[in-house]
Amino acid sequence: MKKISKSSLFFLPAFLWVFLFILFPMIWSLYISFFKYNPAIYGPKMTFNWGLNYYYILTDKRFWESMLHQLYYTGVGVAVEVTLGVLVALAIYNYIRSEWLKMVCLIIVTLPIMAAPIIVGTIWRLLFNPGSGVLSALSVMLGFGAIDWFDRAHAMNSLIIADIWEWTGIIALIIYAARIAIPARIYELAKTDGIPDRIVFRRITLPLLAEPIGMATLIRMMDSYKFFDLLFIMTRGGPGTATELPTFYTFILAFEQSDFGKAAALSWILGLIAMFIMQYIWGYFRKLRRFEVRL
Amino acid sequence: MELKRLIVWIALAIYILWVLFPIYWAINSSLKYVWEVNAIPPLWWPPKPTLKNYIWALFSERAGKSLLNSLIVSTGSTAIAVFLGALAGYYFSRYRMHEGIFWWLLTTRMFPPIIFAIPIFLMFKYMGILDTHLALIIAYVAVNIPLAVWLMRGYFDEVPVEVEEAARLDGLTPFKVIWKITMPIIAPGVAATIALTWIFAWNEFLLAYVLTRNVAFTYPVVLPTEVVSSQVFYNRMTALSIVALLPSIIILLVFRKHIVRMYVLR
Repeated sequence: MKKISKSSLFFLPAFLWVFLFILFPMIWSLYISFFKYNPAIYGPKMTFNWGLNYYYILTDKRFWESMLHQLYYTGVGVAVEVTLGVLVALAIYNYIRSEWLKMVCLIIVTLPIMAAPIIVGTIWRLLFNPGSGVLSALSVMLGFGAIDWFDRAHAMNSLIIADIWEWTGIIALIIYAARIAIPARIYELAKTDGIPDRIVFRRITLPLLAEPIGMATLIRMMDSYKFFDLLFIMTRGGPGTATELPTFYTFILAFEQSDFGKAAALSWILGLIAMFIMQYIWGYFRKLRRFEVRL
Repeated sequence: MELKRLIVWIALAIYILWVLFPIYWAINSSLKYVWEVNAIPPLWWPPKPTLKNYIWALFSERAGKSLLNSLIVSTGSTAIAVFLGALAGYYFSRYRMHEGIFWWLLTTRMFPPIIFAIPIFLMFKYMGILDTHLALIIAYVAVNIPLAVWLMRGYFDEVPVEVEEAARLDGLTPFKVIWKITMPIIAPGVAATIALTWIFAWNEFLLAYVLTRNVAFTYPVVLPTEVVSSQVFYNRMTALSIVALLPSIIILLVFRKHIVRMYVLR
């Protein structure tokens, strides 16, 4: 018993800190979610309302629309990022001979993921800016006429484009690391046996990369579920609610409508979805620890 | 074969251009005056380059102070988070107990931050510490501890237990063993953990936006606000962005080997 208590001194401070400032607040927000609590309108009074908040959210069209936006955003964005990331990683690995140039390419590819999302959002908002933005100018130059990148039809895709710019690099980096880990001997054997490149790619490279690709996809999916900063600075959910995602709707409920009860209920719905997804990624996630990257 | 190589090179060059162009455009815009930034069609390079925006970003009441606040908050929170994270990481690496807690710590990082931003905001409101550096530091330490624990555990795992046992047989206390023997071995890992934790605090937006107003605001909070009567000061915003991007670039160059490890836990 004494031995346990002494060694737990190591992890207790960290554990307590996270417990006090993450877990306890979350439990508290579960409590709040069962109350009508809107300090801006009704003052600090909290009235128990029998879980009506959850009923409101689940029958709220705006909530379900934001979930659909999330599906579209995650589906399209992550699909493009993974495809592009894998291609870029393999292109750098296979087609650039000089080690030095390989490293320069990888650093450039990684550059966007180190930038704060809010900075990326600023830059892309400027690029998409109607009229004076580069992309508007390009679309005029190419003869498509002036496209308003932030109108109802394009706004979501504009966000996805900015997201692809920022996050393709992480996929490329993970896949590059995984490709390095495949022993070169396999390829030598394939070459001495005279197996054509296309078959080597389909029968050796792809199957061996399947697991890292799966993991990279899951990481990106979880991350896109947390997507907030870019949306905040680029469209603020607009026009109307055309680009609103569930996390942003939670933010609006809490900090613009001051409806903390409903916001807490929505954040718990989002949290439960996250836990549900995590159940599935758990096994995958543990394997990640094996990765060591050599650049 | 050579044709194929050429096509791949061109495609890769296009990709590199696509990555670099927005950064070029940010630098370009940061050297312009506000009427040049909003010119139609856009100007591909600044006609009369000016450093005015950088002076604004570094020394103005609002932007300059926000950078200083960012520096205080990220440095303070990193110091605490890495210290506590190292202790916990050591524990999980050596004692191999409470694995459940380790994984539970990691899960907290997978939730959308808005989930705890709301109750933390309410809690700090009751405690009366909204809009202080302390509030942001407390929140960032909580968010970054899992990252620090994850990274430090990985580095401790690389040091064989036998090394420590030998030192302990020589009569060193457990804390001395960590400090004098293990830490120097994994010094590069510790440096990387510090840098990566720091950059997360530096780049964080949502909590900063929610928890600060007029005193402790950090630079991500200032960025979206440079709009005066429908005039958007993109020249200032990009200048501030470029300044705030510099630490990221330096850390990328120095710690590029460690970056994948960090981003699996973003």
